[in-house]
Amino acid sequence: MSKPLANGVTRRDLGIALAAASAAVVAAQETAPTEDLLGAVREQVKTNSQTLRAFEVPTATEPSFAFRP
Amino acid sequence: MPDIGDDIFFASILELNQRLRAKEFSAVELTRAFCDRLEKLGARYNALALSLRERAMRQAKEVDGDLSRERYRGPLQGIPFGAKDLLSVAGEITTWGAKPFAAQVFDYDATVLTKLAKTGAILTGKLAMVQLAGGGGYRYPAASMFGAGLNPWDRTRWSGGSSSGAGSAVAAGLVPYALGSETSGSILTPSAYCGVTGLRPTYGLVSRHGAMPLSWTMDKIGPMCRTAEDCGVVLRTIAGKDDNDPATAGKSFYFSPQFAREMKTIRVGFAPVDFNDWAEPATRPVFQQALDAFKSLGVTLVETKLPLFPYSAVTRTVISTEGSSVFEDLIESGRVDQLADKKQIAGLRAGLEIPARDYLKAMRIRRLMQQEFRRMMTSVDVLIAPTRHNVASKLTEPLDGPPSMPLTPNRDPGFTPLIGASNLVGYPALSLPCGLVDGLPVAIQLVSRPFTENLILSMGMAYQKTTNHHRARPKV
Repeated sequence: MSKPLANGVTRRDLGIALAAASAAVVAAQETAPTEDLLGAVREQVKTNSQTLRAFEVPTATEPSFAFRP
Repeated sequence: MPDIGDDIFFASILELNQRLRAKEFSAVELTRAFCDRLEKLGARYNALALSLRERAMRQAKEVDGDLSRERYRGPLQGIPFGAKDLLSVAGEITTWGAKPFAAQVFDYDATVLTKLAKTGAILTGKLAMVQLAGGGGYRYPAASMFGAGLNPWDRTRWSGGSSSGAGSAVAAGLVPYALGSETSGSILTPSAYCGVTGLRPTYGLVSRHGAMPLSWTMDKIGPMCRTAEDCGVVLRTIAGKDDNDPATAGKSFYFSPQFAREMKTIRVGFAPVDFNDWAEPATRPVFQQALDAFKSLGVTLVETKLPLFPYSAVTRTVISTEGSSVFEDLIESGRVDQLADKKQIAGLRAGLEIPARDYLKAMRIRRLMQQEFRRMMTSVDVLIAPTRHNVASKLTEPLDGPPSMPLTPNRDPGFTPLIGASNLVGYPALSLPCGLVDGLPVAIQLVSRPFTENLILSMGMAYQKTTNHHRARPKV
């Protein structure tokens, strides 16, 4: 049985939490360099843009934001 | 001090309030018990951003003074709660979950916190979140200065985001309820994955003053609780006009379950493909049972199709453009590189490059969506669908990976875009736990017209009267 620390959390608890968190952090940092990611995100923005531009909207349609002075 | 027992940690707001008023324990005892638990177990789930014990104990003493003089301020009086760390508390650190803001301090309270304080509610801590509420789009659950939100049902799995700490803390009994926020899925997803009841209010019903903005036209603040009834109680307090938030609609919310519509008069739209096809195979029986349970309550189920729109492209364009504008200084200064997720950094940078014509086109399409949703909602009162079609993902799984069943042009999408779509049109939604699959919670969502929260809450209450899924507890 794992011995509780002063705050009541056991060393095992801490170990599991840290291992889980650090594994995910490592995975996050092992992605491609930022430049590649930026290129990939820009491609996504471009795809979104093409999708939006292909969608026909009646001329009279106003944007859906509201500004109240 | 009397031993007030473990059952309080999983009691509803209304149960706690009854016991408080019956003097089974004092507000100070209750608050101390919850502070101890939050401080002891918060780190276990990466759920705690900041304990506010001293402030909470001061408030609790005041509440006990009021109660001794029979000054009652409603069901939230003396009940502890937690708030997502995007809500400012005067003089305390508010990090927005992000390292570049690790020392940020505001000199005012968020409006929702002021409103809750006036009713005697006791804020015991700030709860962890995905950094910047996920603005820019993140790849891994660890996109937070607090680490990945760990799910109390299985700590190798994600709690959901971006209100990750709120989901975990309510599920693990660290707070009786919490305030989360949603731009597109940030209340519903952690509520579903953690097995708590979450309400995303209508856009404009609740003030965002004092909350980190991500998307001015989409951000909402709402409660994450144990029951639908508790969500109604909290919403009644936090709703209403606020001159400090120009988007507030000037409407209040009168929680009126006593005037609930008869279930047999309610028409509920659903898409069979959600339940038979899109839901992960192991979850289908549970979702089908939930659908059957609503049918047994007397509602009429009507096959319905969402209007066809490029929901994903519109959602991404609106949130990216507004979010990158909000964080322009962070991005341009280079401090954005301190964020924990490289994809998110790239997403924030790319958001500054979106042409105005795309943003305006997205906002014009949104207008058409509103019209078509209004039309659709003339034939049904409520939409029902799985909140998420799966259980919580593993911590190491990328969140932007390919869907388990890829979209194909000829495949009926059912209500799979419902979270994005209903956020774009500003409709309210309620996520209700509806069972466990391999020991992990899944949930069903109800969506209704703007400012009809009473309808979905009354349906949620009726469902929770006949089922016990909302009472399931993880082993903490």
